[in-house]
Parts: sequence; C-alpha cells; structure tokens
Amino acid sequence: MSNNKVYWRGTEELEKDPAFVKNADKEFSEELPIDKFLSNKDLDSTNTSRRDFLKFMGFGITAATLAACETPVVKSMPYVVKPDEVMPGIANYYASTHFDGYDYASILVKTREGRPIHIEGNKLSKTAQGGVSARVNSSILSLYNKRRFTGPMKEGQSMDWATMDGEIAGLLNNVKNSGGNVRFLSSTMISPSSMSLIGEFKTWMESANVPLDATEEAAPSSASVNHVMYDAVSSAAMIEANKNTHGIAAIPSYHFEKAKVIVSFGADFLINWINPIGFARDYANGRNPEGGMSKHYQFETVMSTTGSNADIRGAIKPSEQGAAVAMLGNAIAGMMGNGGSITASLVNDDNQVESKLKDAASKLVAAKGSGLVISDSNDPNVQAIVNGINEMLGNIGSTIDFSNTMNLRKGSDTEVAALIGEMNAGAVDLLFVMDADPAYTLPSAWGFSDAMAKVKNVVSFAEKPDATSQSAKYICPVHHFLESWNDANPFGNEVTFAQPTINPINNTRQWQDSVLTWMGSADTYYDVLKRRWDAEVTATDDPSVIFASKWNKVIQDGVGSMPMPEMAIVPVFNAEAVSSAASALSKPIDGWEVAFYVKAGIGIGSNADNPWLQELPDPVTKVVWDQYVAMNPADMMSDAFQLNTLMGEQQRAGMVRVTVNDASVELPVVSVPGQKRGTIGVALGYGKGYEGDRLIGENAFAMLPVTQGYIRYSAPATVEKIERRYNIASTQTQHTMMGRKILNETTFSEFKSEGREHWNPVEMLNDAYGNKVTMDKLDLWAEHDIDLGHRWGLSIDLSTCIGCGACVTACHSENNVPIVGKDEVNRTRSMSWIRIDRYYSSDADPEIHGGIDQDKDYQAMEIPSEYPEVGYMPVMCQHCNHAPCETVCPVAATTHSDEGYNQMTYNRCIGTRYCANNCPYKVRRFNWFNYIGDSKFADLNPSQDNLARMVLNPDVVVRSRGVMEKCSLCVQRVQAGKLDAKKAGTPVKDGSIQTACSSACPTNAIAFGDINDKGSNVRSQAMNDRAYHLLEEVGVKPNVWYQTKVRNSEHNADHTA
Amino acid sequence: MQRESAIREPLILGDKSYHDITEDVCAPVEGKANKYWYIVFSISVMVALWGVGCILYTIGRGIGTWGLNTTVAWAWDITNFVWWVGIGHAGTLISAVLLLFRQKWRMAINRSAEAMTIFAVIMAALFPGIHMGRIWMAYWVFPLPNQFGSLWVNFNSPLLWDVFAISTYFSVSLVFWYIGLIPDFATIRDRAVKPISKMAYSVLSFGWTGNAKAWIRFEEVSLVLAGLATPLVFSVHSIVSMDFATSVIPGWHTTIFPPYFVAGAIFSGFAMVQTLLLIARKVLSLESYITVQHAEYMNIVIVITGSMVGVAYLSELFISWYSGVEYEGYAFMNRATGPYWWAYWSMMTCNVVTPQLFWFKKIRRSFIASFVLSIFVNVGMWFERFVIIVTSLHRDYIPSSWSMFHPTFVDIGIFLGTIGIFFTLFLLFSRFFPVLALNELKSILKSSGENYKKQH
Repeated sequence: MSNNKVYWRGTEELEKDPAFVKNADKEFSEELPIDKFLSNKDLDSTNTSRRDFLKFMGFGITAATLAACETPVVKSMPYVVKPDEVMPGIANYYASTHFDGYDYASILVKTREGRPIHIEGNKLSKTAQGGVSARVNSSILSLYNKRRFTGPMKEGQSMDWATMDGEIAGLLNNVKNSGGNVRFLSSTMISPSSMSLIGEFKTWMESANVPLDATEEAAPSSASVNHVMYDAVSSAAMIEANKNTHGIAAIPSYHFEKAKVIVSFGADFLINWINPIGFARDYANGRNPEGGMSKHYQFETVMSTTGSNADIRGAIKPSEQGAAVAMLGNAIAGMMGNGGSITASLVNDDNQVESKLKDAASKLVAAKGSGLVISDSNDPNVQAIVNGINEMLGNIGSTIDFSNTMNLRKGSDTEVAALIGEMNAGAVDLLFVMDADPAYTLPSAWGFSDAMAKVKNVVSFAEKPDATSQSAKYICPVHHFLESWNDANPFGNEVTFAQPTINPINNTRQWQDSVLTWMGSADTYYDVLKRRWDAEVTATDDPSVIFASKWNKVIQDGVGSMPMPEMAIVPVFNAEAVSSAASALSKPIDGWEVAFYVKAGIGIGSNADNPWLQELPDPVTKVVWDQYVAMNPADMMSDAFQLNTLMGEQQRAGMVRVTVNDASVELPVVSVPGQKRGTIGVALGYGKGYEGDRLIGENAFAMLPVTQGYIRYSAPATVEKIERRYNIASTQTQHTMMGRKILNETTFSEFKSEGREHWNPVEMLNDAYGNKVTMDKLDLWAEHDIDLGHRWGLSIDLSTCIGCGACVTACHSENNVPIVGKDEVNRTRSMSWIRIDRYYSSDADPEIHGGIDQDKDYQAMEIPSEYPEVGYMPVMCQHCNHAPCETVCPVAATTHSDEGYNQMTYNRCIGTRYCANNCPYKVRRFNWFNYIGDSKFADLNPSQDNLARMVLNPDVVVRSRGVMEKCSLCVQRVQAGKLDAKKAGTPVKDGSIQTACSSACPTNAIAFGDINDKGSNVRSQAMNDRAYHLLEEVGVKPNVWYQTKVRNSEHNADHTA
Repeated sequence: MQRESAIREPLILGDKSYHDITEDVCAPVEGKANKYWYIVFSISVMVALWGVGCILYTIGRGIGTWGLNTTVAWAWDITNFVWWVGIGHAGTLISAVLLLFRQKWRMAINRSAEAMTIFAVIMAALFPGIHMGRIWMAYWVFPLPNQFGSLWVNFNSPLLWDVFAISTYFSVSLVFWYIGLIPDFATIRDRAVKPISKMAYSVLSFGWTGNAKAWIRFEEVSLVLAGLATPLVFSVHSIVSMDFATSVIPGWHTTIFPPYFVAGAIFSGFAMVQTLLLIARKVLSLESYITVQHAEYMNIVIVITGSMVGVAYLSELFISWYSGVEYEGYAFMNRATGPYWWAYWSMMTCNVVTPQLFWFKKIRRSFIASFVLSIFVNVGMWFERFVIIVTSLHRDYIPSSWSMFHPTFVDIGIFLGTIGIFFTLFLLFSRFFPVLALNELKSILKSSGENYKKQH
C-alpha cells in the first residue's frame, strides 16, 4: 500500500496562506535584492579592478602552488593514550642499580618523555652512598650505542628468538639426555635471584629426565652444570688469603671513615678498588680538616688517582710491594714488641720509602684499632701479611668488618683456569658467557680463545660485539642494564634493584629470561624477582609499609635489605698462615718492570666505545682518547730514551716498544711524575674502543702474566725506544702552579696551630692612599644588587676533591656538551664546561735567581718534581659579580642575572670571543665548528647519531656554531627547583637543588646553594676560614668559593722509634 | 707668490713646467700599462683570490679552521686587524696634520698615502667581520632599532667603540681623499679623448669648473676636513688599543697603550708609505716628484716614532717589574724568554734596533736602505701586535690553561690574501686615479721646483 501521508512545510502551507501560495514555487520565497545590489552606486566605486582580480588570482595560484611544495616533514609519534606518569617537560626518576661486573652503584635514572637521559646517585644506598663515578653516569650513553646487537644471531646470521630458543633448548636437551657439561662463565655476579636461577637451572639439568614411557625407570642425568666467576681485575688472592688467615673466603667491608691512618699498597680505592664510590665517600668523611683528618699513606708504582690524593706517597716497584708490606709489618712488630722479622729489602729506594714506611708504622701503632692497611696485590702471600698486620693492629672488627662481606669481587682465578682446562680437553658441550668478555680480559697465557674454539657451542650473552661474541656460535644479545630487571646484593644484607627505564631499544632479551625460556618456564625474570622479594625483602626506612606494597616500595627506593643467615660470621685468625706466607714471599726483581693499571674513564674496557669516557681526561695525566706508557720524566730524559716530556699541539710523543715475555706493544710515552723510576705503567681496557675508525690502543690484559695460578698486574719487561712519534692529546700541557696562589694548600698541623692569615690570608691591595684594603673596597663598577633574593653559588672543597672526573661526565650528560675528539682536544679546544686542573708540585725555588735572571726561575718552576705532590682543582665558570666577560661583549650577549649568574644568551652571541680572552679563568668554550653537523665529528659526537642523540637533555639547548658557551650553574635545574618550591608554596629548601656536578661528586666536595640563604650549607662553607676566591686579587668577585686544601703530610723523615 | 729659501732642497726636480706635471701624472692613467704592471697585478689578484677562498671556507665551516683555541681566542685575525689599521694611519696624518702644519713636501705623497689608508682600513675592517663566529649577525654591533624588544648594543665594550672609531675614520678619510681628487679628475676629464673615460671622469669630477670660487671652497673644505681628521688620527688607534688596555689580561691591561699604539701606527703607516712610494716612484717614473728629500723626511718620522715605540717597550718592561704584580711580571718575562721569544726579539730588532740606522744621513738618504728598512718596520709592527695578543693570552693567570697557538693554512691564506687584495686595489688605483695631487703640486712648482729655484 502506497504511503499517502502528506507533509507540510509549515502551518502556512497547511492553512494555504495566500502569501505563501503566491511564492510557493519559487526557490527563494522572499525577494532577493539582486537588482538593488547591482544598482548600488558604491559598487562601482569599489576599486577591485580587473587588475586587482588578476593580482588576487595570481597570488592565489602562487600561494596554492607554494603550499603544495614539500616542507620538511618531522615525524613524531604522539601518544594515543598518554601514560599517567609521563608529563611532557617533567622528568621522572627511577631507582636502579648499575653493576657491570666491575663498578657498582645504586642510582637514580632521570627520564624525560620516556627516555633515560641522566644518572645520579641514590642516597638511600649504604654501599655507594649516593655517589656515582664517571663510568657509572656515562653508562647512560652506552644505552644508545649504535654498535649494540639488534637481535639474536647464529654464526653471524640474524635469527629470530623462536628459532634460537628451539635450537638452544634442543642443545640443552641433548646434554640433558646424553650427558655432558654445561658451563656458565661470568664476571662476579651479585644478583641473588640470578644466582638462584642458575642454581635452579643446574637442578633442572642434572635432575632425572622424565621418561617418555612411564614404564621406563627414570634415569639420573649425567649432565653437569657449573657456574664460574672471574674478575677482569682479580681479587682472588685476597679471598684466598682471607680464607687462610681468617677462615672466611670473602672480601670484608672496609670502613675508611673510621680509619685514622690508611696505608694502601697500590690499592686505587678511590676509583677502582672493589667499591670505589662508597670508599671515596667514606674516605672523604674521614678527612674533614675542621673535624678530624685521617692520614693516608700510599705505596705504589703508577701515580694512581688514589696515590695522588695521599698525604704521603712512596713510589715502589711492583715487585717490591711484598717487601714493602713486610717492612711495614717488621716495623710495627718491632714497635709493638712482637719482634717478628721478615727478611725484606727494596731494590732502589729513591723515594725514601723505607723511612715513610717506618713513619706509617709508628702512626699505625699510635692509632691501634683505627688503622687500615690494604693492598691490591693478587699474590696471596702479600695479602696474608697485610691481614697479619691488620690483625696485629687490632683493625679487624673495627675498620675491617668480616661480618658484612663485600660481594663485589667473587671471581676465582683457579676456577677459571680449571674451566679453560676443561674446555681445552673438549669436555665442555655448552658454554654460556654473560657480563664478561673473557676472550678480551683473560691473559693470553691462559689461551682462552683457543680453548673456546674447542667448545662445540658457545652462547654469548653480549650486549654489543666483543672479542668473545665474535667467535661465539650463538649470540643471544641482552638488554642494557637500563632496560633490565635485576637485583643486587653488593654487601652485607643490602639489596638493591634494577628496573627498566625504557622499553628495549633492540630485539634483545635478558639472559635470565632466555634461561627461563629454555628451561620451559612460563615465568619471566620479573615474575621470579617479584615473587622472591615480595616475600623476603624488608623495606628500607619505612616500617609502616604494608606487606602487599613492599615490592613497590623497594622498587621505588631501589634499596631494601634481605634476611641474613642467623649465625654470625666470626673470623678466626690463623697466625701460621701469615708466617708461612712471609717465608714464601717473592723477592723484588731488578730491571724494568711494567705495572698494569686501570684508568678512571675506561675502566676494564667494557665501555671503551663510550665517547664521554674516552674524552674524559685521565685524572693524573689529563690525556684523552689514547693509551700510553706512563714513565717518569727523569727516565724519559735519561740517555737510554731521550724522549720529549712536553705535551701540546705540536709536541709529538716519542714511542717505545714494551715486551713482556713474547708479547709486545708499541705505545707513545707520556711523562708521569711520581711514576717509580725504572718502571712503566700501561693501562688496561684499551684495544676495544674506537675513535671513528681508529682502534684505540692495545689490549694489555693479554699481556698479564700468571704466577702460581694468579693473574698478576705487573711483569718484568723490556722497554726500548722506537723511532716513531705519535700525537697525544691532553687537556693540560702545563703542570705546575708556577708559585702562584691558585690551588691554596696548607698542612694539617699548620691548619690547626696557626691562624687563617698564615695559610689563607685575605687578599689585600693598596688603595689610592696607600692603605691596605680588602678587595671588596676597591671597585670601579657599581655593585650588583647581590644581597636581594637568591644568589646561587658553589663551594668546592679542595681537600676532598679526589679528581675522579664524575662531575665532568655528569656535566656532559646534563648540559649536552659536545664531544670533539682527540684532534680538537690537542688543539686546546676541549668543550667541557667543568675541568679538573691537576697540579704537580715543583722543587724549584722561585727566588733563586730573581731580578733579570728570573726567567731561569720560571723555567725551573715549569718542571714538576720527580715524585711530586698532586692537587686537583675543579674549575668552571666562576659567575663573577664583576665579570670581565660581561663588559666586553659588544652585543651584551653575556650579562649578569639578579640571582648571581653570569648568563650566556646563545642566540644573541655573534662570536667575537672577546669574553673568552678576558676571562681570567679561561672557562669559556667556543663552538669552533658545527659539532652537530660538521663531517669532522660525524663518528665522534653522539649528537650526530640519531640513536645517541636521544640522550640529549631537552631542557638544555644544543649550541650552534660560532657561539660561546660555558657553565650555566645548571640554571635549568635551578628554575625547575624554584618552580617546585613555588608550587609547594615554600621557600627553596637548601639542598633541594643540586647542579649536575655537585650531585655527581662521590666525595661531596662540591656544594651548591643559595649564598643569601643564611642557613645554607654553601654559605657556611663560603664564610669559613678555609674559603677563598680563585684569583681574588683580580677583583672579579666570583660566586664560586674554594676551600683551602689541607694535607696531613707531616712525617718524621728519620724515624727511629 | 710664496718664496722659499734657496738653501732648501727643491721638491720637484728637473725642468718641469705646469704642463709637464700634468703629462707626467696623467701618463699612467692615459697610457697603456707596462708588462710589469700586468705581472704584479696578476700575482696580486691570484693571492687575493686565494685569500677570498680562505675567507669563504672560514665562513662556510667555522672559525675552527683557524689555529685559534680556548686559551688563545684571538691571534692572527686581530693581529692583522691592528696591523692594517696602523698602516691606515699614515695617509690621514700626512694629508691632514701636515696640511695644518703647512708642510709642502706632503703634496707628492699624500694622494697615494691616502689611497693606501683607505685600502688598509678596508682590509682592517674585514677582520673583525670574518673573525666573528656568526658573521651573518654582524649587523648586531650597530645600534640599530630592532624587533628584538629593548636589545641594544653594549656601550661598555671597547669592540663597540672600535666599530664607531673605525667607521668614522674610514668615512672621513674617504671624503677627504675624494675631495682632493676632484680637481685632478677634472684635469683628466678635460684631457680625455675616449667617450667612456670622459664620461666616467666627468661623473667623478662632480662638474668641477676650476674657477676661483671653486678653488676657494676646495681650500676651505680641505682645511675643515683636515681639522676633523686630525683628532681622528689619534683617536682611532687609541680606541683600538683599548680593546686590550681595558681588559684584565696581564700584558694587555696597560695604561701606556693609547699613546704607544698611536706612535706605533704612525711608525708603521710611514713605513708602508715608504715601501709603496719607493716602488711607485720607479714603476710610474715619478723620480722628479718623489725625491730623496721626501724619503729623508719620512725616514725622520720613522726614526722618531720608532724611538717612541722603543721607549714604550722599555717602559712596559720596567713597569711590569716595578709594579710587583706577579702575573704582569711573568707576562713580560715570558714575552722575552718564553716559547715566543723569537717573536719578541723579531719585534725588538725590526722596530727598535734597525730604524736607529736612520740617524745616519747616508742611510736616511739611500733609497735602497730606506726600502729595506721600511720592510723591516712592516714586519716588526706585525710582530708587535702578534706579541701583544698571542704571548699575553697563551700564558695568563691559570697555568693549567696555558697553551700555544699554531696557525693553519687558512690563517696564513687570509693574511696573504688581504695583502693581495690591498695590492690589487692599489695597482688599480695607480692605473685609473692620479697618483700625485697634480693640481696641488703645481702650486709649489714655482717656489720649490728645481729650475725655478736656480733662476732665483
């Protein structure tokens, strides 16, 4: 049926309104005023002429054409659903743990928009105590390393995980069914969960196979699983000696803060030895001139960072270490009436070591129970005597704590040697290698690479290509630690956690997850961890945390503690072990020796491809981007070598060939005053990193000798000059202070007995009337209003600065400081905003000639002593209140802020460099090239790599070429801190804002804060007697103060006690 | 008619008439250039092009192509700048100061000296421009109204004073030079036969008629400009010296700098005039006008200003010791005995020792000796600026930052390039402009011309 409904347009149609009907068929019911419009006179008077029409059309076409042109498209991926915790512009911090088998630190990872960009210390950790080292905070850049594996590989071919899992599970089943040996080889593993996972794996492998046929009897598997740990820099002898002398096969914890006298034989405990970050903080806490100050003796071969900080340093040959320890023991025993005497003597005592040892002995005896003697030797006999000395002095239990053992070094030289034996015998069917590069770090004497070739299947859990993964059949690449879950038990009952801070960048997998998958487990490692610690962990300082959220709490804090076994560990001293060690002590040898040491930046080489670390100047030599032979300048100038001791753009270093047994390396020689005469030092960890295409240095691990089963870090060597020269780049080419008051220092006894005017006089100048007045009375300029509002400043304690360089890399990370490479550093164009000046003392008398012949004095003062004292001085922009840079800039690109900054306006700068010339501190850095685009820096500067530039801090602009830059006192952090305080409605709390350098400093030597805040730490430091301004007499009124360095260096040269 | 004592040596040699002067001066402009001109010109242009290439490379890639570094952030760039500015002092001094002192001998040399000034100042002005990290922002040094809000230049900065000093000096010198050229252009215009050159010189001569009224005004304007230019001769280099004197760097922070720099500038300027004119004299056959008498007068100025510079050097040394300031004392000891001792002693030899030979009349009146010694002064004055800039910067307050400066090929290329550009411009000048102020010379022909002197 058809629809006959009728619809009306309105009541008018329904009612057939005449007015409506009349117009009903028209499109527009009302009359349109077209005629009126067209007849409008004004229309003719408008001036849109034909020409205008053409113009508009022309413009329109042109505009449309131009708009159709391609503009650069920047692709970005917006969040479809924004995660709650990610707020653009607001940083998130995640607690995590860094341990790469060598360096341990509990850390906070700063992430911005999901990208980790900076690492700071976690103050809740008792092990690292909130400090970081250069190696730790630089590890963030390794996350974005383009050399990392992008996915699993078999024999060089990419593979997917499923196939890989199938193959390896098959291999494991073969071993499980038909018997065989599976071995894990790793560096020291401190993760309790990983250790138990390997334990579970072992049980799973070694347990009976579940027979397919139920009637068959279950056969126990003949498979054997074993986990071998080793350390690239081994402490195995210490563990052995501790077992022999005290019955505990572990490394005790050390309390440097409690030690009044510290005697270290070669142990570089401030940047390398066992737990350097925590030790450095303890050490600094024990060296407060205003409180008490420990006395630190160091007897070593190479001028180490720790040795350079020692109050009294004695240079010994590496083979003399045993003798030196024995002599110390003899002296102490003599003084305590124990009479023990080990026959020991030094080969060549050109540094008064014997008298220094006697002095140390007397101080140790005087401070019985609060001394500390340590050694880095990997000779169990030496370590046993050291233990004997500590026992004799009653240090065990006070400064040395066996009840809380350090787990950071657990490697065993004997076990790894045994494993290599097994491998050589063809007895290992499957070898898993993780957190280690044994083919690189093990001495070639052990022939690991050859042994590896005899293993049928090697699975490498490497993060990036290394010597081991190169010849491994399977590569199951692992996450960077910032992408991983993990736990760690560094010492005692402390447990710290690692959590991912970013989704995995590459197609990688934690080895724990791989092992779980191969075991057929449905769990992930995260599940394993969470289950374990939900039950076991005790949350740190908050007992109110309810059980269910314990896990969340410890992950948030990054730190918790684990239950300890009930029975207390009591060390039982075995004097017999010491005396037998004494009788077996090896004698010092004559002739050249090489000492192998570890550098602050490169470490054991695991991050040798990290440009921040390569460009970090070595604390002592200030050399970047190269490995070298460290030699005493007196030896270099001797007839045998006649080498150039100078450094600089056109001072090419001479080279030598160093031969140890059959292996030899050819390396440039760098003059290192303080290096024991007749010895050289060669750094480990090289031959791994690249500068562009250049492989840097040689692998010195391969040259390490093995004696009595222990890897030794020194060897007799032949050193011969070769006729080649090599460019070495150093950030500092003049090594002494030239008698100026730059790094002001005094001795502890003077500091205690004399007034300030004696050791830190206030700078006075004559005014126009000849009256002595202080610098603030002499002003050419009107004073800035410095007492109003904030006045940010720094105070740097030269007594506790150890020169490690953690602040330098932290600054690079925070402020996007470009990496410029060796050639540019060689041209004195390092871009670091903070540099650490290192000064050697000189024997020269500044006034021996005087007058017209004073040039002779000056020339003599340029030459450091043969065995100098060393001082470190971090220098950054001093933020002068009367800044010489500000007055000379023609375009006012650098100006003074109301808050005490000298601030740099990059986009106003035209680059005349006048400011840099007029800066007395030479802290301004010029962008000589376009570092983010110039081809010279393509393989150097991380900012030129699309992946690595993810590490850039979005709060800090990347500077363009031709502008000046310099330390900004981390103004972006201060602004953020002020905003936080403003939101909270409170004044800025002292300590709530930290600069990158002050937060990174492991010894708290750098204090940042508001000088106008009466209660601030920085103000109290800046006002104390040790404070002074660098170059105060220039009158620039800096906002950076330095605290006079105090050395506890008095010693009785001819001690007869 | 002014009369001149008979015992004064004539300033115009030979039997010259007014017409001869016109012929002699116009000859290079009207005639064809000889082979030597083309050879020298080609070399200059090639060197200039090499310099331009180096400049473009610098602008394209960055200041890093130079040898500068964090410690020594100025070196050859500012050395060359000050050197060229110094050279640019002689022209104005000769035309302005000597005009005021009514020294007639200036007339033979003032035109080329002024041309040299103009070209030298152009070369000098190049360096502050190209040494900027961002030369495309160079206009920011001018106090221009801008869209950046209240952004203004920093009037405290000596670099800004430089901008004003150099630009003022350049414009006044240019105007002065050009005013002097007008009657001579008119002479060439009147003699020109080719239509293009006739037209060009007509435009250049601004419709000069040569009537008495024009001459009166010409004289008056010259006098006024001389009055304006004279203080500038002293102010420019004083202000340039303040780039250093107002800083805090030992070796720069010295109150003696303004007079010392002015003396040095006149010294180097006269030496460069001497160098150029002794060549021009031979090449352009102007032996009758540029006489041994002129050379001697200039040598006297050189020996006097050279001695002033020497006194300044010694005062600096004395004061650095007498002040008792550690850094100051070291800075000067380092200059003489440090790694750059060779630069210091080159400076001392060329600026203080060798010019003293001009006390001997024989040497003073020898063209060869004058030429050789003028080259010494040019070299010495370059080293003076190098010593002041580089040896003060390379070892200042903080010993850890001490460094050295090593020039790159770009540094050298740009320096040589500016010499090339300078000579290119000067050679073009000698072909197209009257190299002597011929109309002015005519005014002294009857008083100082050799044959007229003989007649009286």
